Amino acid sequence: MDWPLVLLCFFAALFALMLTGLPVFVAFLVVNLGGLLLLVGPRGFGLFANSVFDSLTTSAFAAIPLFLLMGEILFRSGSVEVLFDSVDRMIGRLRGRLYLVVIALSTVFGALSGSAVAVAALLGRSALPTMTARGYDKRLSSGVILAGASLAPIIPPSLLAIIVGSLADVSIAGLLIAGIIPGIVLAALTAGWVSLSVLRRPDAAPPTDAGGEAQGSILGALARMLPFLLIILAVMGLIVLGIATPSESAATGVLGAIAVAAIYRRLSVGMLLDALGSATRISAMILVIVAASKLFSQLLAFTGATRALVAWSAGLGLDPLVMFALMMLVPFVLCMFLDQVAFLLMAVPLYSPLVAALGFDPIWFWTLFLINLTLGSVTPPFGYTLFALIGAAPQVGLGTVFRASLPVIAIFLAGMALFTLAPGLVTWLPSAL
Amino acid sequence: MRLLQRGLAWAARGCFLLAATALAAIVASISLEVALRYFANAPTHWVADSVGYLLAGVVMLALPEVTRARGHVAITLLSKSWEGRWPERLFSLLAGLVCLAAAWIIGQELARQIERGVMTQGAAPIPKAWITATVVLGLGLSGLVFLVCRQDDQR
Repeated sequence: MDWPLVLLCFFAALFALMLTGLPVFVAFLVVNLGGLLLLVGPRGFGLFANSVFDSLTTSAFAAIPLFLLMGEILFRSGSVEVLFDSVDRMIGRLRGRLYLVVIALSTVFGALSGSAVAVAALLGRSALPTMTARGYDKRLSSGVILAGASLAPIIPPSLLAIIVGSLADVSIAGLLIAGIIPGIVLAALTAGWVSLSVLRRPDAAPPTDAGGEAQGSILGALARMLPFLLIILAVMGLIVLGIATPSESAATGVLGAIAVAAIYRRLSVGMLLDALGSATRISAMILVIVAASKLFSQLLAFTGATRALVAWSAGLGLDPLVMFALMMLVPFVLCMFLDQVAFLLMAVPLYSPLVAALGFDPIWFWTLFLINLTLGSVTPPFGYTLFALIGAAPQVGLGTVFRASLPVIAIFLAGMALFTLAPGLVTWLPSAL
Repeated sequence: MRLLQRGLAWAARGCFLLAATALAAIVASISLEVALRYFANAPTHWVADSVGYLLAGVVMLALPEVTRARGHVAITLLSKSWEGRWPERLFSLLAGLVCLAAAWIIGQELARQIERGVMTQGAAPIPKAWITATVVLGLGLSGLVFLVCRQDDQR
């Protein structure tokens, strides 16, 4: 069978099955088992068993449940309220300050949950009603939440970065650290856009916004959030300095999170059990897809489709920048429809040899790829994060959320252009490891 | 049927408890490794392998409960329109059969591993069948949950 036909059959079957609403891991199982039966026959079933075994016992993936557990404990320890009050106090009585509070908070929530959808839903339920009640512009508030939520897959510890690193055989620590500067730049661009919007349209924020403002000194606010910040910085610091692997840093982070809960007087067996249950559930949801999809890349390689695609791309003689733009266009479009993890698992086997053949720095490429995935999920009409926000705050309306996403898309595109022209913004920190 | 559903729910919850315990054991073993390596300069040789084995337990033993709670990642843009109708049941049936087929295939490998006494590779080898058995259990139970516990029972 010709390789384009092989690719078409595999991907079309996978998309079709996913669009029926079948769990993503089942869609991968159907395609992999069907493909194996057609290409190798029943004697290839051992390959399937081994692929599942190998991916489930990859100890690098242990960082995923551990980071999830750390985030769950910090969420449930009351750190979030302490952080909200402290950030609120530190920003002070600035016009439109809640916009800035939301950007700062979503950056931190993103670090805790690693999921744009989760952050959008959380802030849509908690911050958005407060903002609209205080007279903040609905569209700008929604835009700020969408932009903030979109930082989640970029700001470390990013679960998607761990999966990409493991599948594409790129340093996981390097990928995690590479997200720091782009995350901060994108957060700063968003803050700049909000400030300009409020300057241009003063009615977008209430003139005085004293309601609910946290009391106390700025130093006191900083002291209250110090234990929390120390944990996040310690976890990142251990990875940056190369002292511990991501899994070891994550386990240390779990112990630190338990200590923070104790400091905030929220530590209880019940809270720990709830956090453990939730982290277990989310880990199983993600890692079963990874386990079911592993054979997909092996089958593509077995048919020769991957090698042929690389040879064909090289034969086109296109400028690497054009190839890069084309390679970014695909996730941008498909992530409007597909779950990010599902798309990642389909794309990495095909993209990984292309990245090597085109001579791209893998850390730079995959970091931009992750930013691009998140961009697709805030793009109308099907972006996942948009629907998470609409689901959490239906009073805002579909049209408002769609319009709110346009400046966010522009900001992220500008950010990607910046990171393409100045790759050092992405690669400098990992190279200093 | 109700009895079977109840039995599956209990089995799924029991497996989930084991999965959560395995996650706690991962935290404990990696923390121990960090402490022994950096404070006592005495790294272990078994933690890296054990974490891999425990991780398989976390994922596969939690799988039936995630299935029971309909918590899997799925693209529901289209399928929302047929919630509670026959296509949903058809796809649930398909998911159940696929999981059972996968469990059966891996079960064949499990039988081979038991017969030949295959051990895992690495510094701390254990019978490979122990891990494979959790995969068969997780997929098998999930398959049954897909087939027996209809979605409207969860709502």
